Amino acid sequence: MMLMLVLTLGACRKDVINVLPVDQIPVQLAFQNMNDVNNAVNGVYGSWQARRSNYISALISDEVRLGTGAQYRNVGFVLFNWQHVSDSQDWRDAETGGVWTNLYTVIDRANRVLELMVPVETADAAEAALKVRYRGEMLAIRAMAHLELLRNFSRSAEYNAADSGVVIQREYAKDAATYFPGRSTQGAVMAFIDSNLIEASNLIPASFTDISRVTRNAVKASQVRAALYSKRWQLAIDSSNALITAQPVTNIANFPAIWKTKSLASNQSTEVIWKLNVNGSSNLGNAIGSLWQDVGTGGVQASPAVKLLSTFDQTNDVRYSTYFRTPTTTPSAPNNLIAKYGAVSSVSPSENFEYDIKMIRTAEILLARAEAYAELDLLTEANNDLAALRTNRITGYTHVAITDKPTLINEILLERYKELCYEGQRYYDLKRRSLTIARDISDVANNTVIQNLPASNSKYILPIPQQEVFANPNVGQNPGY
Amino acid sequence: MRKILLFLSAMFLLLGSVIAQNRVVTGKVTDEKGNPLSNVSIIIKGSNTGTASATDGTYSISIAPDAKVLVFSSVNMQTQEIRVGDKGIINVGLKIDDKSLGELVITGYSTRKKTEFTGANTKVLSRQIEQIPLASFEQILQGRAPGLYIASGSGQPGTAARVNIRGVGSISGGSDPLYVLDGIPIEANVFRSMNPNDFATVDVLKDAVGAGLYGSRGANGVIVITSKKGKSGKTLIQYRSQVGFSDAPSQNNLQLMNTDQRLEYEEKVLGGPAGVLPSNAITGFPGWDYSPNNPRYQTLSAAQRTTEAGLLDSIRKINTDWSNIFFQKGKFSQQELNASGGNQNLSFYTSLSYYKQQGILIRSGLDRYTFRANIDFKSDRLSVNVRSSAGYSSQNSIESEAGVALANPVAAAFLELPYRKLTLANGKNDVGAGKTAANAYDRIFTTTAVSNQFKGNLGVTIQYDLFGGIALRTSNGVDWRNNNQSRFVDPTSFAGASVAQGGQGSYGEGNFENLQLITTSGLVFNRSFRKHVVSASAMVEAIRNKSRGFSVTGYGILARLPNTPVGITPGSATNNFIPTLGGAFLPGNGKTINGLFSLFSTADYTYNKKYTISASLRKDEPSQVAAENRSNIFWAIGGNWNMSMEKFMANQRIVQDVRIRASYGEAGNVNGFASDFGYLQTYGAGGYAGAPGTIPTSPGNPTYKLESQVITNIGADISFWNKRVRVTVDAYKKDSRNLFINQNLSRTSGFTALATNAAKMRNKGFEFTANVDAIRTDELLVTVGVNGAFNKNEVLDLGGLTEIPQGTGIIRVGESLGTHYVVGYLGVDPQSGQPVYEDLNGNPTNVYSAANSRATYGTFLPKFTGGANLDISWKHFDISALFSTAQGVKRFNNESFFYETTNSNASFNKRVEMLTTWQKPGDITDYQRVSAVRQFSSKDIRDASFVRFRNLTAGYTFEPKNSRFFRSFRIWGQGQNLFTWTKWTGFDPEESNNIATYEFPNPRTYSVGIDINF
Repeated sequence: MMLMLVLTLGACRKDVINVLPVDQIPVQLAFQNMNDVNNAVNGVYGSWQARRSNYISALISDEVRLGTGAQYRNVGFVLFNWQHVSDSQDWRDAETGGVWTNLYTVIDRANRVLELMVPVETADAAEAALKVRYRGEMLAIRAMAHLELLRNFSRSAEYNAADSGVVIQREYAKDAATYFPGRSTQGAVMAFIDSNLIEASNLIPASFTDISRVTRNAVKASQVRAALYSKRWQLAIDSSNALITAQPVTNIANFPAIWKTKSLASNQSTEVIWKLNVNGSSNLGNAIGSLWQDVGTGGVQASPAVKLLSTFDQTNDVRYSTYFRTPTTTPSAPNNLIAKYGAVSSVSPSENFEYDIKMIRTAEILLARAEAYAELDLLTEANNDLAALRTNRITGYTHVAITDKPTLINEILLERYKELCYEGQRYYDLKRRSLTIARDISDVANNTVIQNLPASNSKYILPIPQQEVFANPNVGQNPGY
Repeated sequence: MRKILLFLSAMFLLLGSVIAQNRVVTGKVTDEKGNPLSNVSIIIKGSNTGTASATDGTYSISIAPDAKVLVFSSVNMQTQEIRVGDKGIINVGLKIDDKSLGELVITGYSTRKKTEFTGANTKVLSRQIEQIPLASFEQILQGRAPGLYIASGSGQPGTAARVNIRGVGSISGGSDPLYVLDGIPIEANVFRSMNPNDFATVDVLKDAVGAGLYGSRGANGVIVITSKKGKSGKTLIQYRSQVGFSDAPSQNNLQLMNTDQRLEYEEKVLGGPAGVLPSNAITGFPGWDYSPNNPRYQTLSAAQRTTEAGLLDSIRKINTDWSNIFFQKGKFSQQELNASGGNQNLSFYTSLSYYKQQGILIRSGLDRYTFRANIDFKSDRLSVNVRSSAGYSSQNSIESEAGVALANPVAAAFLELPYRKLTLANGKNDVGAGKTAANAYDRIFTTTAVSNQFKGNLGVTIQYDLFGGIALRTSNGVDWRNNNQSRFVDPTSFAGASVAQGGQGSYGEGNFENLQLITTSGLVFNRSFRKHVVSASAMVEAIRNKSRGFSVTGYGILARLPNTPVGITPGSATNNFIPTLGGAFLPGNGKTINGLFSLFSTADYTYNKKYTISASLRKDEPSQVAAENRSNIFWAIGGNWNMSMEKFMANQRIVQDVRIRASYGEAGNVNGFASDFGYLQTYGAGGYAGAPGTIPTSPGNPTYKLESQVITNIGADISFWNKRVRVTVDAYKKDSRNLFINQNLSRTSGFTALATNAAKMRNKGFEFTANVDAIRTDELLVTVGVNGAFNKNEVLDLGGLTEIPQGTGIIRVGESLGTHYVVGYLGVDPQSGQPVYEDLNGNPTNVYSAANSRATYGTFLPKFTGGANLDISWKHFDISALFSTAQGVKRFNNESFFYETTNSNASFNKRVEMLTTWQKPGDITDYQRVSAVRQFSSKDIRDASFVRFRNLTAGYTFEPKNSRFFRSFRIWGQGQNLFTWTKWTGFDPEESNNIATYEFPNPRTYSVGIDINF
């Protein structure tokens, strides 16, 4: 009897030790058909925690003032006070993905799809076309993530082709343990972004219009953003023209709906060129509104800067009533709320901030073209674009042409400040022109130490996260950290 | 065992018969009650000559004229020595000796005589385990065994502690020892549904020949638990009862501000010229807002000034002691009924128990019911041992235990301001945004966190003797545990309104199961001939482990249907009630599986009771590595020289025992795997805003292999002064290799870390145990014992890297694991009030930079652990005291970061010393100006060493001569955790990890009890 038991045990050896995972998919089995590829593409989109740029931009610049009293939990305290160091919480991986880690995760996942999808067989012409489009989407998202990295982590504030940029990831790291890449120059990174975007725009068909993924228009819009960042004004103009016609800015009547609709269907607004969905409980942690206010209690962590509020025509500008709730300029009033992505208030006590993240809107493209025109001394065209936006935002607006170039450019930047607040643009707009971050005294609780941050200050640029520096000796730290 | 003894005795008899001119001594051996004892070994001291008693207890021995002393010994009986003189008849009554269990080492696979064991072990006996008011049995072992480090991380009844045998043997993998109950491995850290009173002995196996028997599972040592079994004879029935209470601990070396101090702090420190509060507005800090020193005061009218003075006065009258509100006196009781007995062929032990313990924080507690039935059957050739137990426990937890979270009542007790009130005028709790403690208090009653655990354990061992000492043996067992956890948030409460999904409460429930099956079968061989004793085995073993968890949280709870899934409102696209997988208090969704297949063989050989060698060889194939790395061979060898059996020792009376042991071998750490499939490159689930998706989950590592440890041990057991002094010393070296480290990856790789088998680490140390029967008379026995262990941990190699920083800690070659890594803090600059840090060279600097972090601030792993006990028995009275200690422990005090924070977290309460915060040039203080950022620094690394008066028990045993109702009873009282000596600031220095985050402190418990034997 026992001998039999022993024999049976011997036979069960393989059953005991040859087990496959239940909760994970071995990579050899992960890409078998186009549905698998689509799932992996979804995984890439789902990985982008785009709100990190919104957070950094708002806190470090002049868009917000910090919460006060007991409800304030120190959110953004270090960044707002310009006391950030390379291992401040804002750069650590645990903090809903430090922006560096998160963007490289997006890039890595896109790279894996690009490579692992190659051998996947397509069943028919429709699938073959899908496969082409997926490649386009992945190339584009890879380029956009590189551009975002460049805006955050370049060694210089302004674009400088010769200065150190970020690491270019052309393929996924095959042996992660020995992978210690150095940073390429900003020029090299920009060239990589350009070539990826060009290829992507050829691969993604114009008929694909799902704005929660990267469309051809989104690629074009990214080209505009890249061109503006790298001061290639003519390229910015050339890339915008068709786009502005295809997806014009929304008028005053329809504007609030962009921000009040939780999940914007692609036909609801022509103005949103690319958005990331924030939907259900699956990625509420990526919601932008909860950066400023606590879910549930509504505790205010950041409220609109007095400086920003005072730039608006509070009666006629639709943005004022759309972006802010119960606004007052009294410094300590806690009911002064950023409402661009929802707000907890008596109106909506159970707000969960489930609003899509607008990645690129036509308003940005229009202002980018205006700026490029102005830089090229085409002041009439620049005035026209600025007026076009304002007309669609301010009731009864009449434009008085601005004939002085620097004044016009300042006006355009001011309009970007107002139009694109809390959309992850302000800090990068200042930075690409080395403009001093200047706050209103009432936004800093009379603390003049944190009122002005000139580009010459080392805190003006961001540190490479310490964890990366520890892991990768070749990456090099930015000056001052 | 008896057969071996009989065999030996018979041989001695033969030897004895060849000696001439002897005389014969006869007699009868009985137990204390006069029942005859068979198989008692009777040996002439200093010789090999001896005999054994017959079934009626009689014996007859031929002794030489120079023989002086006869030694009577038997298993389970106290050995007795009788001077022969010229007596011809010697009748002896042997006393039962539960200490004799201490003479056996139970390895789980076999039982060895302590005198012939070649390894290092410590045995803990039932009387040291029983009736301690701790629900998780491993905590009871604290201070009992040298090298066994037990650190309780929580005073929540039923929570398991950190257990390390001889230091931490793994860097990123598990370093829990293997737990074996009656030969069947059981899940580590899940003990709260077991009754420690059922345990007869606990053997702690620490080295290669003990723990190494377990191959890939043995590297971190093995804790072998043997449950009680019945003895043949009259059925014994015992009823045991105890009741008591637990008290909250007090803060060590820390005083938080009261209202007067807090208001002064707000006025002079937060406000004031060097403060951060503006003077043109109401800031929410009344001490400053209503202060005449506030420039705003000058702008007020006389009437306003009077009003504000009144407001301040009313605030000043409030002085809430928040820790008093959250802590309670916890009630405790335990009831147990057990019975044992049997006849020649069959014996049984069975017990029923009920255990109820309230925690010292309101709501926490544990209710437990356990049942055990052990049956042993023995016939001529066949023996069957059945061990079964079932336990159910229900644990109520506090909110956010050990979390830096405002819902954690311990945190709230630290953080809330003394001038806040718990309740409003209408009697309701003053909840709302920013109302730290009132919110936390309200949550106690409006939320639940319940874990119901069912645990079953069954083991059956069958042995059939074939011939010539060879037997077939099979051991089969199952260890199963299911946790049903549920969490309810009342929709009508503030907590319920704060639920992100719909703001109307939540109800979540889930089941988390762990199942382990084991079968071990093969041949065993035990034989003695002449001076040789041999035992050997050849076995095949298969283990399957499965665990799974599934839980869901639903929202939109109907207030009239609380705490049930029925109250959940189904989710829709608009109502925000879509249920979520998992949820707070419901971790660990998923399924996983692993297996282990092993072939092993052991051999032990003893020559003439003097020399023993033992060896084991084992091939383990774990499922968690790639096929080409599966075959793992482990071996161990050990020797024992029982010097006291040598002839040259026979004629001295100074030392009674001298044994020298040495062992060497390797064992693996199957706990080291962070994942059951870490070797595979995998994708897993990860969607995009509700659309299904996949993401890479593991970069994969085909070279993934088993961690292992090469363990060397040298030890000695010595007793002298007529065995009144018993000393055991051991020195060891454990070289861990192929240790997994999470190599920090460049984030450009898409991953942050990769588990690689790159590291080597060494633990070496020295252990000692000494017990002295300081007084030993018929009526009075005073035993003093000390034990201790020095352990030095050193990281030897990190696979090319020299260090891996991990937040405020670092793993660095040449340093101990758990080394803190922060920027040095020197003090506060009297001129500027700014903190002064150290740069990399230790020079002062005003600039805080993480790049200046240094690893010179110690480790949270203790350098020395130990215990001391005093046992006194006098007539029917007994007293025992136990002390335990951990020395050389440094922990990161995250709590101090809050109560010493300056500008941020101003709304939380501070320690009293913060009143001396820097305010003007020239101030000499350790508390920087409020406007300066408080960084993590060496200031937060604090000494967490402690000495603890762990237990004091006093009892009285009464044995009436002629009671018809009961045979004996014992009444007793005890105090647990009576006093702690420490430099730590906070409630409790004892904790299981590197950082203090408002853990549930260990309680002080007092109880009284009675044991009645029928």
